[in-house]
This record gives sequence, structure tokens and C-alpha cells, in this order.
Amino acid sequence: MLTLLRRRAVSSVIPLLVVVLGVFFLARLTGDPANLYLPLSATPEMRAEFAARNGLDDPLISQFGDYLAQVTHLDFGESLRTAQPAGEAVLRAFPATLQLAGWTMLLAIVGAVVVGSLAAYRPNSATDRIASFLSSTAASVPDFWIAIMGVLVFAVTLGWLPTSGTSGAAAWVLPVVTLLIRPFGVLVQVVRGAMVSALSAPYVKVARAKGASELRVVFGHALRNAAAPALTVAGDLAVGLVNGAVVVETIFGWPGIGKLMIDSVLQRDFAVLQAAVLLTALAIFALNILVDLCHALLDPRVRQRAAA
Amino acid sequence: MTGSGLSRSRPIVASLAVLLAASGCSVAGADPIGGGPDTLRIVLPEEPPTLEPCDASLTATGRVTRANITEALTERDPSSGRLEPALATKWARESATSWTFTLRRGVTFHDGSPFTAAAAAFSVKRATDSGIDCNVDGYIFADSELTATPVDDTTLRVTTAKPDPILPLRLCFVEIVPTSTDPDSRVREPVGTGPYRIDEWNQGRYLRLKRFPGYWGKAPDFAAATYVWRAEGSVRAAMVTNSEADVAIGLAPEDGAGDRAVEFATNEVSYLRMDATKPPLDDIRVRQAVNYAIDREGLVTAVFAGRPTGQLVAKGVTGHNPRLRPWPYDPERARELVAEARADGVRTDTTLTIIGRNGIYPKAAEAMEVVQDGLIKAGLKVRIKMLDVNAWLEYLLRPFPAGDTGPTLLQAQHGNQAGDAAFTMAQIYGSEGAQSSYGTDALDTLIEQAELASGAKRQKAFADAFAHQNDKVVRDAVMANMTGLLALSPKVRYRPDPSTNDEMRLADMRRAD
Amino acid sequence: MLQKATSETGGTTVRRRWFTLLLRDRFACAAALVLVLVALCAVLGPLLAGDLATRQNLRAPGRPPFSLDHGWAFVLGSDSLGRPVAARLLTAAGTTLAVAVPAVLCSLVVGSVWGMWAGYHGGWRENVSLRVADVILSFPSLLLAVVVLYVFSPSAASIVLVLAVARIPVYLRTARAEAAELRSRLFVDAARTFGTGGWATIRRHVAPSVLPTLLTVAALDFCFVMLAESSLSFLGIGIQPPDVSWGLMVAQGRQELQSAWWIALFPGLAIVLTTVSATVLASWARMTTDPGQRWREGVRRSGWRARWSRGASADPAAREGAVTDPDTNADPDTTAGPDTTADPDTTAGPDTNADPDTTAEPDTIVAPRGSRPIGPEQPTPADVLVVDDLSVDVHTPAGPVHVVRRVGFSVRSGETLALLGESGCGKSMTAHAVAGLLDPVAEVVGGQVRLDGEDLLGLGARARRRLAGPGVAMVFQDALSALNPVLTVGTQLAEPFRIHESVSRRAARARAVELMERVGIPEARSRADAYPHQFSGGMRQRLLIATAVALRPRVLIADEPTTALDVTVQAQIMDLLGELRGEQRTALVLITHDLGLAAEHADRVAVMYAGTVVETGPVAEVFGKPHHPYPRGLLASVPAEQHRGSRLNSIPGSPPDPGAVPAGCAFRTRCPMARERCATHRPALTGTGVGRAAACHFGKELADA
Repeated sequence: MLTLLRRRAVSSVIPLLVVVLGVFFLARLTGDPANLYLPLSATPEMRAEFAARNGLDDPLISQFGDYLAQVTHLDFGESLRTAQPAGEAVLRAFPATLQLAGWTMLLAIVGAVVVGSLAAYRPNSATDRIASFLSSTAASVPDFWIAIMGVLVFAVTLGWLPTSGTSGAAAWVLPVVTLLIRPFGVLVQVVRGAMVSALSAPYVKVARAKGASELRVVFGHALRNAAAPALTVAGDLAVGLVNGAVVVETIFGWPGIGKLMIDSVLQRDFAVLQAAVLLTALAIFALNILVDLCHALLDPRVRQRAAA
Repeated sequence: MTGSGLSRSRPIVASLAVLLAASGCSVAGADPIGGGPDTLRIVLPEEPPTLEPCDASLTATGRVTRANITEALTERDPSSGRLEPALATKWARESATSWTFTLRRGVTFHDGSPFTAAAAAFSVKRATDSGIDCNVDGYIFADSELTATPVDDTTLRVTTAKPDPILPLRLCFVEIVPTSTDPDSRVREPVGTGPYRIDEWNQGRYLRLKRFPGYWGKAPDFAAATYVWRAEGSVRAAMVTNSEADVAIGLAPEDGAGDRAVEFATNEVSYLRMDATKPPLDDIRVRQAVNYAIDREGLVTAVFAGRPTGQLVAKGVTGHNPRLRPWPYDPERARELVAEARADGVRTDTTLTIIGRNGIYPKAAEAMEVVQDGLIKAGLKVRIKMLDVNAWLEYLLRPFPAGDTGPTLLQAQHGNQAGDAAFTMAQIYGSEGAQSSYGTDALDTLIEQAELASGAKRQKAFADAFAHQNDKVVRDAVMANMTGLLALSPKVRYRPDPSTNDEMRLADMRRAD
Repeated sequence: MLQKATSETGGTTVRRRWFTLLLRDRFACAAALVLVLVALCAVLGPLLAGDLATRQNLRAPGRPPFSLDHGWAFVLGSDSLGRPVAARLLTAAGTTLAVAVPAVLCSLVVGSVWGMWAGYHGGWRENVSLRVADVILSFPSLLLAVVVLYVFSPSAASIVLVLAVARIPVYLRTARAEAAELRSRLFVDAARTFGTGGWATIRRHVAPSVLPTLLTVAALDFCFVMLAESSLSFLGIGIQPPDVSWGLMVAQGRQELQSAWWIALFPGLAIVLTTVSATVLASWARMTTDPGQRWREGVRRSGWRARWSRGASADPAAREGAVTDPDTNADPDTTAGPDTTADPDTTAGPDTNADPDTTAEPDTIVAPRGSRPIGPEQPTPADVLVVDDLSVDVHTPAGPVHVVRRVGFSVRSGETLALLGESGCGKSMTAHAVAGLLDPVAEVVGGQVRLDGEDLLGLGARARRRLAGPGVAMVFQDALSALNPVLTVGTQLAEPFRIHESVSRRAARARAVELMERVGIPEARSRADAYPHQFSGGMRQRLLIATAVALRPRVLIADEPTTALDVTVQAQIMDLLGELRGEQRTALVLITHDLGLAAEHADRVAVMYAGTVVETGPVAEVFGKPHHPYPRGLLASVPAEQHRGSRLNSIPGSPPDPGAVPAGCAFRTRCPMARERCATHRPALTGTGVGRAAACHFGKELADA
């Protein structure tokens, strides 16, 4: 298990560099930020001075070199927009996103396992049909629509929940639910599919032949075997959440990394963008490794293959 | 349950849940919005990037900073357009290029230091002549050089390189900070003399201001003010109807604020800038046709709130020409003009590109669709390209994008915050103006003359320049003077004015009870 | 077994019957209809709507929906510029599909081919590909969108490019995972020789099994792409007006949700409906193409209920109903009259008028039913398991198939009965029915299974579970798939004790180790923590047997326990079974198609053909002198000393499809003795000697010959 961890960590270094490199150059393709940060009437001299001050006038390669050198000292540069260290801004926003993503995935997975197993338990039954229909609907409703309707219905009309913000547990409900719906819908389908195959496997019959209760059959025997594909998909979905739930963060005023990232793209705040991407990429690589570890934990054959 | 592996994963799941729960608690409760009856809760469309006083002409910064945290020497009454004393009690023009300001006594900064002429001089220098790229510097002092020197503790002399009849007006954008402020880089949380000082800025979540007990003027009603920000207009409106906020600004009519909504005239004017150097827009008939083809009444009915107008400055701004009417909607005339131009060999079949900017005002893209529809009906070929701010700025500002972009119509909006057409004309209509793609010598001369004039002459000169632009140059299709919309909770009494969007004075907000 | 049964029914004709199958599934049918409609809109929309979609009316914007006052185009209201929503929906269908379909196809094709290639080859190619996927996944797709659309200016093509690139890793990873899994299996099976090159193998073997999963993903992605395009529109870098897509309509309409809900709602519904339809159709297609799932189509909505709560109170009636089902009656030979089933004491004979076949057979001596399950022998008190008149139906899309028809046999304590037959003859189905392990698609429609006199079929689910293990236990044929791959063998062996004897984890484990030692697993203590895949085939079979005999069952059903094993191991396993049977006085039902195995290890034999028992009796007697042409044919071709290992395939022809069993005697098409009567009358199982019975019109003749 440790070798797997070490090997994955080492093999993540180059992709991480590629991500940073890609963001660095792509960001600079989107135009000079001087227009945004200088007064409208800025003279060419002011522009030149701005570029020099922010190191934007060097050749790209040397800019990148300087950046890497900075990063090795954990200096991520300063935000053009807010005049504060980019690393600080990113570290402040990231926990908010992680918490949101964590709760969302936890609830989505638990819900999907229950509903998906229920649907798979009786394939083509009414339960199955309804679950499939609702889950594919859930997977396809635009999230901003849910978000705004949620605010209108539960905050404005019914007054049960606050419209937005981060104060109090009630404020978590709308963002989490909005964010949850799509992953839940997708996961229900995946869990259902995997459970259908797992429940028709011979070992399930063996378990029944031992007199195992249906709960034991479903959760003790089938689920662990069905978990692998669901885990992969859940990993991908979690990556999407870690990468920022832009819409939800924007609508609910959630101070997360997604909002920060889109703001820094639109505001050409390169230092913040780079720091944000670096951090999320790190988190995503860590998440991928975690998913692989879970795979290994769930399935001894994967463990063996990894050790080999 | 059954598996040994299953029991192994249980502690992981459990610890994950605990971790999440703990982290949830740490975030929950961190947000103080709710306050007491003594706290004013305001919801903005965006978080201020900084509260840097010399960026106060930026809307997002200025509406929090100006007149709340920091103050200037003078202030302009947005309704009457008159200049009122603020930190300066009076001022006098001693020569064409020199002014003296008498400063208010007994004023202290939030940090306890006294307000002196030295601080004022420092602030002027910091705003106009430092390496911070102050937004105020570019916007207000674009081409003027000035020096401020303290004469004594309460007297400040300001000299300009060129004669400047409106210097006191310009100075109402220089927010005064103590000399302890960093002169070389932007500050996020400034110290000022205003009625409120910064209490806590929890970035991303809220900004709380507290009443400054040592304020020189009348103490405001509310003991504290909390700003939060939500990007969606409907959410901002909902926060007021749901009593989560007392004031929501930047709303659109469809955001659903209902009877909590308050409309007010702003100084923002939406317009289309025509690229009059490229065919077919180099023909004045085509430019006139564009003007005739736009259904301004339709726009303000269906797309955004506003009044059709024919000039870039709103009523109350020096230089506003009351005789200029909005162009009428006359599709027939537009078609004729285009046909005439075509008959004269103008290449009217060249595709025009509307360069739009998302979010410049509510339903920006729809507005451009209306324009496009009108122009197509007039016989022109038009496509729309909506851009984000930075990409759009490349089209707005000199130097314009190289390469063959073809003739463009640029979606733009102008708000003259300072109340004098000088802040509009040269920049937008001068041949060399930063936002100008086309000008004429005649117009340039008119503008130059107007800038040097003062009093009634100044008013007439600028008004003439607008009229000349409208009749002879027609570089714009001015659309509408935009109407602002905010929502107020029953707890607050407040009368918004044309500059509310740029400068929202908390002291003007009164408790209703 | 089940799968085999129905896939044989369908065979290659399934593909031709797709359309019919589609019509049979109401949901899939509706979904297909929606998609066709959307496609039609995409093609015809511009023609139908003309310029209505862009015709503005700024004086009367936001007309509410559901009014025909202003023409059909306004039936869904009008938007903020006064344009009719319905007309815009029609026009937008084309643009939406023009973005979504190519984007999904591009990422599907590139991602899956790349993934299969990577997964098939493994090694550095797999590693590099996965890291590339990591890079794309962790890259903010929004930045990519802004850059591409900024540099190339927004257009349908650049949107497709951005969305396709962003989704490639999803397919890549899925395809890779499945291909890698397949690769390991292919290597195990030494099936690498299948293809000449990598690509050929991928195309022929990897792609078909990976594609169904990918198609499901693609259906969901379809929606993702539409929503992403909507988000791009929301940012202003999506479809540029005056072109219109559903995503753009939703993004623009969201601003007016409060004042004019219909502007965003209808395009949103269009997206949802299209996606849901795509998903439903994809899962239907997956079910239809995947033989492992196809049989599920036949599951009746009430099937599970009948299965799980086959309670004593309600069920006799239900079963009776099933038997008298008109479908069943269509095949007169298998039908037991309602009165026959209802009254177990009825003796079939000349006075039983229920079955025309039986009565038309004057010389038939039918064994008394109920008390005498097979043959003329009287059930003795030592009969542990008595199966009587057992019938099982499998529900298929084409209706029920009678896979087991009125099968009966009995086993005594310590005795071995071999249930002999070719694959598909219903022997496994019989065993599963006895053990209560039928798949939801199969259903017992008549008969009794009595364990020490207690009818198992009449028991509730809970009572049935209590008997599973100590009452009836089962050894399955494929030990690898019958052991749960993710649990240690110790856990699995301890499970019966945990379930039935509520002993502690530790005690159960100790018993499991004992059990492992008993069945001859070396180093049992340490190996209890190993996983099934770490054992050899023979050891796995031992483990499976150990699980089955853990609670000293009264009846042990061994379903082809040695099929997958080599000859020496086979012998060891059979010896082990024999020992245990002797030790525990278990009644053993040995299901096999191996004549030799039966000859060597069974006391008595019941030969099955096409769902019925055709001959039964002591093994030596039956093998020595069969009373039915079927076993006779089988044995004739194999010298007695070579019975071992020879399969029951030496008769010309093949057994009939369970769905298409010929009328009359099922064997007549292959029978050298078939006569006219055989085509019209099905022979009943009739006593032909002491302890012997055969279901043949000429059984007596054969017996006397």
C-alpha cells in the first residue's frame, strides 16, 4: 500500500508541472491585464511600467522560470486585484469549497448507495423505474435553475431557510442540496448498474444459501463488489466539485475556490489563478490517489496487482 | 458488517464524518449578518477588491469607501450639482493655476492622529503622483499636473501646471488619508476621517464597519454596517424580502424586489460606439441609419430600466444639453439612408460586429439582440460577439486590437461621476481620447475651448460640443439614461440619488423607527 | 443457467427483434419517441418556425404561456424580447444537438479508443495516458474555455472542441479500467492468441464489453454537455445570438425566473427530457445487448414478491393460479389440472380425468402422487428430501418458458442421488428451486419440496433462511465466482456460524479454521486471512464445500462440483464429498452431466431431459439396463468402463430449446423408437421395475427386452 502511495506521488509530479505550465501560458494568452488594472486613460509609459513591475514584460520562459523559483519558496506572488499574497487568498477560499464538496459527496454517496441498491434489488420493478427516472432527471436539471428556485421557494416563499451566506447550519442546506442533485443522480445510476451485476453473481447465491439475511446479502456481499465502478465515478464527480462549484458558490455567496478561480480568470489575476489551480490540482491528485487507495482497500485483487 | 475489510474502513468513514462536522461548525456562525436593529445590512453585487482610497473612482471600491470611511476636501451634491465643503471649509482661486483651501479644524483620523494640511498634501501626492497606478489619477487627473503644499496646519495650496477651473471638483475624488499610509503600494484597509471605520473584514464573507465615535460631523443613525455580496440580482432582492438584508443594490426590474424596490435616476448612459473609420460606418448616413434603427423605447420597455436619451451625460452634469432629444425610432428612414449610401457605392454589405460585454448592465446580450434586429431590418449585416471585461476593454481602449477586426459597434456605458462634461468629452469624443476611435478637428477645438471655460460659458460650450457631435459627427448611438433600482427593508429610510451607485452614504440612511 | 436458457431462446435473432423488443418496453419506447421527435425538430425546426424565432416584439414582451390567441408559436409564451418561446425551442433544437452530439461523439471516440488502447497494453502507455487524464481533469475547464473562445472567438466549433477535450478523460479512464480488467482475464485464459495484433483484439474482444458502460456514460454526458454549453452562455462565451440553443435560453431566462418563469422552464424541460430519454434508451440498449442482463427484461413486476414472500397462506392459490394460467394450458402436456394440484391425495390413474394425456393412456400405471414422488417405490421414513411435481417457469419477454416440468425425486439420509442431464435440461434450475435460490425471473409454479415432511415452498422467507445451511446446503459449480472475491475465506467460512448460531466473531473464526482443516486446506490458520483468488481451483472447491457442510446440512446439493477441475482434483473433491456424506449422514444430490461421476459416486440416478425426469432408479441398474431410449442412447455409445469424463452428447441432434419443446414426447425428435403416438402424447413417469421408473411409452418393452 505504501509503495503504491509512493509511486503515485512520484508519478504525479510531472503532471502537476504540466498543469502549472499549462495554466501559466494559457492565462497569458487571454490578454494583458493592464487594461483592467490601469486607469482607462493610461499612457503607454504607464502600461510599460505596469508590465515591468509585474514582470509581464520578460520573455514567457523566463517569467515561468521566475515563477517556479518563487513557488519553491512557497511564494505565489501577489494578487493584482486585491493587493495581497495570492497564496493567502487561495488558502482562505479552499476550506470552504472542501467542506461543501465533502458534505455533498458524503450525502450523495450515502443516498445513491441506498437508492441505487433498492433499485437494483428489484430490477425493472416500479421502484427501479421510478429511481431510474428520477435520478436521470436529477442528473440533467441545470444547477442554477435549482439554486434560484430553491431560494425562491424555500427562502422567499416558505421562509424556512436563509437565501444565501454561510451563517448557521441552515445556510448549508440549499448549497449542499443544489450541488448534490447531479452527483446523486449520476451515482444512483452507476450504483444501480453495478449492484444489478453484483446481485446476480454466484457468490450472492452462496450467501443466500448460507441463510444470510437480505440486508447482509446486499450490504455485506454485493455492495463491496459493486463499489469499484461507483467509486471511480464518485471520484470524477468529486474532482468536479473540488475544482469549484462555480454556479453554487456564485449564487449563494459561498467564498470558495470556484468563485475565486472564475473571478481571477475574468479579472486576469494570474497569480491567484495559478495558485488556485496549483492547489486544486494538488487536491485532485491527492483525491485520485485516495480513490486508488479505496479501490485497493475494497478489493484485495487490486491490492495484489498494486503490490506486484 | 461481515467483511474484515468493511470493519477496517469504518474508522475512516467515521473520522471523515467527524472532520466534516467539526469543519462545518467552524464555518457556521462565522458570519455575523443578522446583527441587531442597530446594524445596517447591505448586500452588494461584488466584494470590493480593496478599500484603497485612491481607487475610489472604481465603483466596487468607492461605494464602500467614499464618504463612509474616508472623506475628501470637497464634496459634490449629486442632486444640485453644487460643490459643498467637506474636510475643507472654503477655497479660493488665487491665480489661474493656484488654489488655496482652508481645512476643517478638530478633525481626527480613525487612528487618533489629527487631520492636518500635511495629511491633505500627502493624500493629493499619493493619489496623483505615486507608483500605485491610482484609478483616480487616470480618471480625474488624466492630463493635469498638480502640486499640493501645506501652508500651515489648516491651509493647503494646490498649484496646477495648466489653468484648471474645476480643480475643487476634481479634488472631491481625492480621499484624505493620514501620512502614516503606505505611499508606495495599495492598502486594503485604509484609515480615514469618515463617520465609520473598518471593524472587521472577513474576506469573501462580510465587511463590517463601526460608527467612529470621534467623527467631526453629525453621528449617523446606525451603529454599525455590514456589507455582504451576492452576484445574483434575484438573490440580492430575495435577501431584502426575506429580511436578511436592509439594502440591496444593483437590481434589475425582473429580480423580484416587489414593493421593496426603489427606482432612481443614475448618471449612467448606455451607448454604442461606432467605428467611424471603417466602411460602411465611415459614411455618416450609415451612422445616422444606425441611430434611427434602434428602438430605444422598446429597449427600456423590454430589456432594461431607463429613459431614452441623446447624449452621454445626464441632467445635472455641467454641459448637459437639454435641447438634445433622443433619436427617434424610424426604421423606414434607416432603410432609406442605408439604401442611399449603398447607391453611392458604400459597402453596406460588410458585416458589422457588435462587440458586447456581458454584465455591463442587466440583459446586456438581449439589448444587443434588439440592436442587431433593428440594424438587420435597416439592411445591414450584423453579428454579435459578447466578450468578458478584459477582452472587451481591448476594443474600448487605445491602442485598439491589431489585425482585421472589421467595422465594430461597441457596447458601452458611461457614467459621469464628477458632474462635469470635461470627464466625458475629451476621453470619449476627442480624436486622441483613450476611449475614442474617431473624432474631428472641429469637435476637438470645441472641447478644448470648453475645458478652459468656467461658469455659464463652460455649460454652454460643452452643450454646444454635444450638439455638434450629435448633428455633425454622429459617432455614437446613445441609447438610454439608465435607471437604478435598489431594495430597502422597512427598517431603513433612504433616498437614493444619481451617484448612489458610486458613493453610497451610510450617513444618509436613517432608521425608520 | 438462466441466462443460457434465454439467450438460447433469443440467439442471433435478438438483433432482428430489436424493434419488437423496443415496442415491448413502454419506457424505452417513449424515450425513443422523444429522441426521434427532438431529432425531427432539429431538422425541421427552422423550416417550421421560419423567422418566428427571432421576430421581436418589444411592445408586448413576456406573454404568458398556454394561450393560442397569438398563434401556435406563442403557446409556450414569449420571452423578454417578445419572441415566441415555442418557436425558439424548435429552432434551438438544431443548434443544441449540433453542439452536444459532436462533442459527445468526439470525446467518446477519442477517449474510449485511447482508454482501451492504454488499458489493453498496460505498462508505460497506461501510465502516461492516466497522467494525461489527470492533467485534463485537474485543469480548470473554464480557463480552457475562456482561452479557446478568446483566441478563436466563440463559435459552435470551438465550443465543441472545448467540451470534447474536457470530457475525454472520463471515457479514457472508464475504458482503461474495463480494458485492464479484461486484459488480466484474457491473459489468464491464455486467450491472447485470439487476435493477430493489439488492435484486432481490442476491436473484437475489448470494445464489445466496454462499449455498453461507455454508452451509459455518454448518455449522461449528453446532458452534461448541454448544461456546460448553458454555463458558457451564462458567461457570454457560448452560442452567440441570434443563434439560439436551449442552454442559451435557460441562461438568459434565469434572470426572469420570478417574473416570467416560462422562459427558462421550457428549454430546461427540453434538456431534461432529452437527457432522460437518452439515459433510458441507453440503459435499455445496454440491457438488450448485454446477455448478462437481457434476461431481466422478463422479470415481472410482481415476480420478486412471489419470490421473497412465498408464504404458506397466499401462495398455494398463487401457484395454482399460475398453473392454470392460459399460457400454461396452451401446452396441454405439462398441465396438471387444477384439481390435481389442489388435492395431493388424488391418485392419477384411470379415474383421474384431469389430464387428457394420462387418461388417453390406458396402460399407464401412474404412481400415486404426493406420497410417491417418483417411480413405484414407496417413500420410506428415511427420505429426507422429497421433491414432488415441481414445476418452474422462467419469464421471458416472449412469455413464460416451462424449464422444469413436474419433476419429482427423493433422497434418503446418507444416500447420493445423481441428477443427470445435459446443460439446459433443467437440472440446475431444479436444484435452485429446491434450495430456494431461484433468480427473480424464475418462479416455482407448482409442486412441493419437502424436507423431513415440511414443505419448504410453503415457508416464509425468514423460516426458509433458517433452514438454508442446516437444512439444505448447496455446493456451486464455479468456485471462483461462488466465493466472494473481496472477503477473506475465513470470513466467508465463519459466516454460517455467525448467522445461524450467533457465536462471537472469534469463535466463528475458530470454527472456520477447523472446517478448513477438515476439508484439507494446509496451514488453515494463516490461510484463513487469504482471499479466494489466492487459492488454487481445487482448494477453492474445498472451501466452497466447507461452507456448505459447515452446519451439517440434512441435504447437500452439489451442482456440478467438479466441472472446472482436472481429473485428479475431481477425484479428491468427490472423495471429500463422499467422506462428509458418510460422516454427517447427509443426503447428497449430485448434479452432473458426467456419466462416470454418477456411476462411481451415486446410489441412485434421475436422468433429466428437457425439464422432466425421464428415468430413475438405482445407478447400477439404470446404467446396466436403461428403460428409456435417452439414457440408452447415451450409454450405448460409451463402454461402461469409460463412463468417467464422457459427456452426454453422443446422441445425434441436440436437446430442444426450453421455449420450444416439441409436443408429445420431448425426446421423440432424437429417438430411434419414436412412433406416431409419441408426437401427440407425452409419456408420464411410470414404474418399470422395483425402484425404477421411466417416462416412455415403451418403457415396459425396454424393461422386458
